[in-house]
Amino acid sequence: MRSIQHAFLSVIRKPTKGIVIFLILLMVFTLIFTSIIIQNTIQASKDFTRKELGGNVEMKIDYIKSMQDAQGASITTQNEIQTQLSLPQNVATTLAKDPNVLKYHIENMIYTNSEKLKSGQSDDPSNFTMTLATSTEGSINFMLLASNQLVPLDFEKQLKLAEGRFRTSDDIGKDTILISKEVATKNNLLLGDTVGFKLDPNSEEVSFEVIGIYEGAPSYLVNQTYISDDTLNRHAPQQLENISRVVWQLNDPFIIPDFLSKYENQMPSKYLYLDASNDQYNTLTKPLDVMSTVINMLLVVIFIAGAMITISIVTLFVRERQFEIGLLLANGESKGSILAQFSIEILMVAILAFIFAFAASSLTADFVAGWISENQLVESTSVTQQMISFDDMMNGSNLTMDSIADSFKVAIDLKTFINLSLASIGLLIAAIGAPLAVILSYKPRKSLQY
Amino acid sequence: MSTLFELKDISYGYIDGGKKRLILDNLSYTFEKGVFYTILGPSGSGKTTLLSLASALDEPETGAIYYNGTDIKKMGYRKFRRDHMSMIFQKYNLIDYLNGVENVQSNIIHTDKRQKIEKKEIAYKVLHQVGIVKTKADRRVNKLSGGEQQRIAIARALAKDVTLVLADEPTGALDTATAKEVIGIFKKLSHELGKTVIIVTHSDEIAHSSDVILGLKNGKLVQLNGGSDHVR
Repeated sequence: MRSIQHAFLSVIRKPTKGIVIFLILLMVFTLIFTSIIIQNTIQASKDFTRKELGGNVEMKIDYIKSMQDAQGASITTQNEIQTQLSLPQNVATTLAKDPNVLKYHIENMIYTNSEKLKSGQSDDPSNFTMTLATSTEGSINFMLLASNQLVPLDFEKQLKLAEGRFRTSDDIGKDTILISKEVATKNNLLLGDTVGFKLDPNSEEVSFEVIGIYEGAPSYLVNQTYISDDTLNRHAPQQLENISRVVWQLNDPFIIPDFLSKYENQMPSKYLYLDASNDQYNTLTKPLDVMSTVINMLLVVIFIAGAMITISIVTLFVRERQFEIGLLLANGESKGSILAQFSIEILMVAILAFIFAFAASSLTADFVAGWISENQLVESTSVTQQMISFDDMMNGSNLTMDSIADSFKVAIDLKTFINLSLASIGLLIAAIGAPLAVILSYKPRKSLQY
Repeated sequence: MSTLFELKDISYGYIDGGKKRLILDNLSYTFEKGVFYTILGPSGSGKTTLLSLASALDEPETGAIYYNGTDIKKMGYRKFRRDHMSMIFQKYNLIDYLNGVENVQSNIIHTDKRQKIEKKEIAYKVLHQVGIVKTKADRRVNKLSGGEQQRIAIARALAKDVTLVLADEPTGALDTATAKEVIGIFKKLSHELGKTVIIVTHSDEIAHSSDVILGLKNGKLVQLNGGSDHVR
């Protein structure tokens, strides 16, 4: 009780030292809090990026490596390499058993011609610069993408169904197709109409019922259509071996690194590898990582410097009052009670500093986040953005640096508040623990200089 | 009279010029209840050291100190300081962020089970006895004169309900009239309330007001006036 009363009176009636400690703690807390808030914002932005990129892991073929190995090799070796350049279905199904795999996609790509259908691509020649499907005289090449899933992977993010529906389990045994809005418009196709494609040059044309019309494809991909692997199995089973894409959708994007490290060594060929959106993630978050590292270093420096300054001030604060300590000891006060009084005094000041620093750092962090968003996440990464935009189109992710910059907003949640509180407590323990503990070694006569 | 406080074979020394100099040398003395003692001696004779040992601010190198027959080391120096003695220092030794009455109150918190309001009344009463009126008692002590601060320091010690009062030059900063009043209070404390008062002083006036005058010579206490033999 005496400790509390005296602590309160000391702070109120002799405010000078309290103000000095308050100002120092305010400055140190504000810097630390701002750093922590920005760190949390960076982490939130990275989480946003990870979520936006999704939890897809794809099995890919390293063609460049295979070409390097094949160069100058014997015909036999070249043939052996060639046999290893296919995506094996058994790996797809094995990895699909992992409890973290939500579902997996196996897609077969078939290039086919149609003499009856017009291309969905624009007549403007400038739009053909990136045409992937080449046309032969009198016919248009279409891509048929057969999927093992009722909803093809491209519809997870990039494409949107404008009309109709996806396949359902009732469609098993039927030949259905999803076509682009552009192809539908050019050919006056409506839902329920039929279109014919050959699944194999030597087989009969298969008639597909249009059950859905999609939109959102880039101009060079509008001739892509979506069919079922069930159709392929019935009409051209040999095509099932030509797997073009294997993708596992994980239930949590944050487990991608673990998933990769678990399975990347289990690929049956050295030309096969697992690829997640990791590269894209790393490219997009690189500026954030650089800032995070700098802020971490600053945080350590501020913490140490702040602790040292506070230690010095509190040491002076205690030494200056050793006479009072001696008097209290002479009265029979316990050292614990004196320690408690001094701790309460500093704690009162520290709580005030915490409140003010919390408010100040919210504003400062907002300002810093705005600066980072405007100057570091847009201008300095415009080239990266262009590169990513192309990759995004291929992978179905619409994430750009602009959207990351937009997401870079300071938000102080409970976790942040707890972090700030822990940092403050840590600093206080580090900075005032030792100087106050010195009180325990004080002798009454020496303190009184008697 | 019965024994309250006993110093037995006390020794204490300082290193001076590389040599140990014993300032208190096997000192023994018994203080009775209800007696007013003064200790005289030249500067450096060890009066202050003796008082710091008697008040348990420091520990003797050899020997023991007994309070009511109990070794204060065994009792615990802090407990002894807290519950059984009260000290008035040569310097005022007040807490500067407290006012006069709060300083006095802070010294009676431990030993007294009375209510806070009652303690405050006691504090005002004792302050009044040493010549500090309420308006001054409510002022921060650093706003008061040296004499007033010393009176508060005395009131601080007097307010504590203990049987042993130790003082080091308590009237040094007081005017003659107040000094006389304070000496009167010390006498009253010992003779009417049965407290043992031990004062270290240079003042002959105080010495002559006391029951027993002691002198520190060659590290030992010797009785300088008549009366019963307290020297062992």
